[in-house]
Amino acid sequence: MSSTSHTPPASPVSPTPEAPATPPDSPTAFEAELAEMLRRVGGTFDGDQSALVAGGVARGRRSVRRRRAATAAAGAAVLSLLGTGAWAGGLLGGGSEVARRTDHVDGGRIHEIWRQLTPAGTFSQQRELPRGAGEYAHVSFVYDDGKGAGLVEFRMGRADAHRSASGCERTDPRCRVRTLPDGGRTRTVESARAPYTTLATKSVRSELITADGHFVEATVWNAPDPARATGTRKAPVLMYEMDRLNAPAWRQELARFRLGDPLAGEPALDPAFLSPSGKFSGERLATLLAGMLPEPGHTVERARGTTDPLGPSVALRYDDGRGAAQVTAELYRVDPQGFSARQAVSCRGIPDCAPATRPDGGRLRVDQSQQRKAGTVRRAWAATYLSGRGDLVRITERNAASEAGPATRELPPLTTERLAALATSPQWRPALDELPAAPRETLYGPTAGGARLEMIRSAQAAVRLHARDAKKFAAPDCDGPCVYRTVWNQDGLGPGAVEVYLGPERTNRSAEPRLTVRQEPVKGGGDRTVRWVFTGARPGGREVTVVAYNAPRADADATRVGPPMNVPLLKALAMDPGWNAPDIDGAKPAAPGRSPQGR
Amino acid sequence: MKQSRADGFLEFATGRTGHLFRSAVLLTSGDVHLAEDLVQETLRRMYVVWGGRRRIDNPAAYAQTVLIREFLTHRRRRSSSEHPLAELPDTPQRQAVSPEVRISLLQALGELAPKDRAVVVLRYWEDRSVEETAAAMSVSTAAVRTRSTRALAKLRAALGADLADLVAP
Repeated sequence: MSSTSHTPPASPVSPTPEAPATPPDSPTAFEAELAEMLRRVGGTFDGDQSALVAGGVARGRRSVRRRRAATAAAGAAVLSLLGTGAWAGGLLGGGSEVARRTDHVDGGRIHEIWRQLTPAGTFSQQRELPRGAGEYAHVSFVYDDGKGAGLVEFRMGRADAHRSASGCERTDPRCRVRTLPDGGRTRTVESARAPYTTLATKSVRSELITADGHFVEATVWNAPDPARATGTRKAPVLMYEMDRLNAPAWRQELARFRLGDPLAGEPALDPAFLSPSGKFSGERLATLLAGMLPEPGHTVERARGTTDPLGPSVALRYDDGRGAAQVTAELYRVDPQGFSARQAVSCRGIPDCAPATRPDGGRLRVDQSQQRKAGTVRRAWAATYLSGRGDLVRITERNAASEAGPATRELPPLTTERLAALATSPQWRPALDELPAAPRETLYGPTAGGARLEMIRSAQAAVRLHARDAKKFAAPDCDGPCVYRTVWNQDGLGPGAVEVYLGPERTNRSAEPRLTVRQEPVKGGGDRTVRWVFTGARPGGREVTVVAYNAPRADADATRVGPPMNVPLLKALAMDPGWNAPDIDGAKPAAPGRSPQGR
Repeated sequence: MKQSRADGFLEFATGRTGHLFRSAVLLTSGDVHLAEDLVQETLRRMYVVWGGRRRIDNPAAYAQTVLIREFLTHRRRRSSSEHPLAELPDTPQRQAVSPEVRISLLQALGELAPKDRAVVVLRYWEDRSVEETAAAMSVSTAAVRTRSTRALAKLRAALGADLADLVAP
């Protein structure tokens, strides 16, 4: 492109009246061209205006209703203080729609359902207990089936990410997890190991996490008052009746509660959706990392600042005189209680790994891996630090000059202690402060939400099609082993492809969900083409890989800044329970070198 | 809200949503999902104000200011009441601008700090004066001038002298 042409645009912005001689008030040629460029580019954006209006109006109506409800509640509180509490109920009862709506299930209703589910025994000491955050009901009662009485404590509510991600330690025989055909999951934890031969106090806690993100939980004891007395029977009451937690009666009660937008919990590793102020450039981060290294010799291989769409990251080629090595640093903000955080600092399944809890409450993981390549042993040592507020710093060092090259020295240059010191260094804090805190993370939930519902629906339709006739199914426009491929350009920002790949069998045999997110340039792809790769597997489920490009094909030049679906939607698509439906008998075999990881 | 006012609001919203959306896309440097959320949040606030006793002299400018302030206060906050756009827009593909130009501009905007970007959008997309921009952002005119100078320097560096070629027909 030429740099000499400065032809005035056809309709330059009209000069502003103030201070015409002093920039930036007077429009220079550059300003006029910028205004014209904004007009031309901005004019091509197209949203679904009718849906946006409908959404705005719906939100507005809710706001108005909430205000009225708050006013009514405030009035009720005043009346209550005046000793006219009886009036307050009437005021609220006759008030707004919001005030009439309930946020819990009545304790009497819970007891009634239990009576219907277990009619043989007797019920006593029925109590309604204080509800915790997100709980719809919390009650207790004493049940006696004729073989001794025992306390039952029951809760149900909204499953948070922590509850959703909780599983069993592999070596704990008292804990069992089972995945249900509909994508739900049960977990049973016993306080003592069976068989039960004594009257010592014991309990069994069973919980059901439904596929749409609710939980139903019951804890049963072998004594009516476990805190004060020994058991009246050997085994807790109802412990063999815990399949009752999956009864339709509970589902009906849960159906009254509309869960919040599951996509509201944006994924933790989501640097593309940050709104940093841009104070930390890649160069500044590189200087910061280099300053923490013991020797001065280094060259910058990669340096992305806090505004980079692929997230802040630095890679240095470092030589302390014993051979070249690579040292990298990556910064994230994550939900400290979320699934991504657990995964990042957990040593589960990693052979040479040491977890630790720091005095400040942060968690640290140091892991070492090695791999033979080109006759050498490549070693990668990494320290990952997660602070209490969700700062995640990962420092990796290799005994090779690059991520893919052969080893150039025997060991990486820094000791693991030094590596841990780098990851926990407070010097990263100013850069991390640039990154907004990640919202609470949710993993499961219905996919009916977000601004691209149709995309999810379309992909789900592909799942159903695949389930119906897996052998004959061939995804339209799919030129590789993917089961679903589409190209979207409904917003006028350019076409982008989304592909779904299914693993051949259920590979996640653990009780933990798995999800990895990669955002990277496409190697050998078109100019400025990037892809976001989401690989997820529900507990007991198959591996699902969703790849989204900012171009219509991997080898085409970029046509938009980012892929057409955002990270929450892609995550929801990868974790959709539909991919694990029993009648999906496996994907087409992956062609060598064509898998999204292999390209 | 009375029916007459509700009709008036719908008429206003239908007429202004397209422009609000385009502004929001520029403000978010191409994050369409966030742009949709900002527009819906802007319309929510407008709905509440519209139903109140106070009259707005220039609702279009008011909405634009609300949008800017929503953007500036946005901190990855995503409403749980986000409205799903179940129906796809039935619009023709506009290819008047090459992908190269679009990506260059949006990436250059993305390199700016959010407040600098807001200044650029208000001054050069909305054609607002320095004083109007300052009022919309609740900052001083000096701050607008400083941010504008800085933003233009960055954009000039990113888009370079090729801008004239990029916008040439």
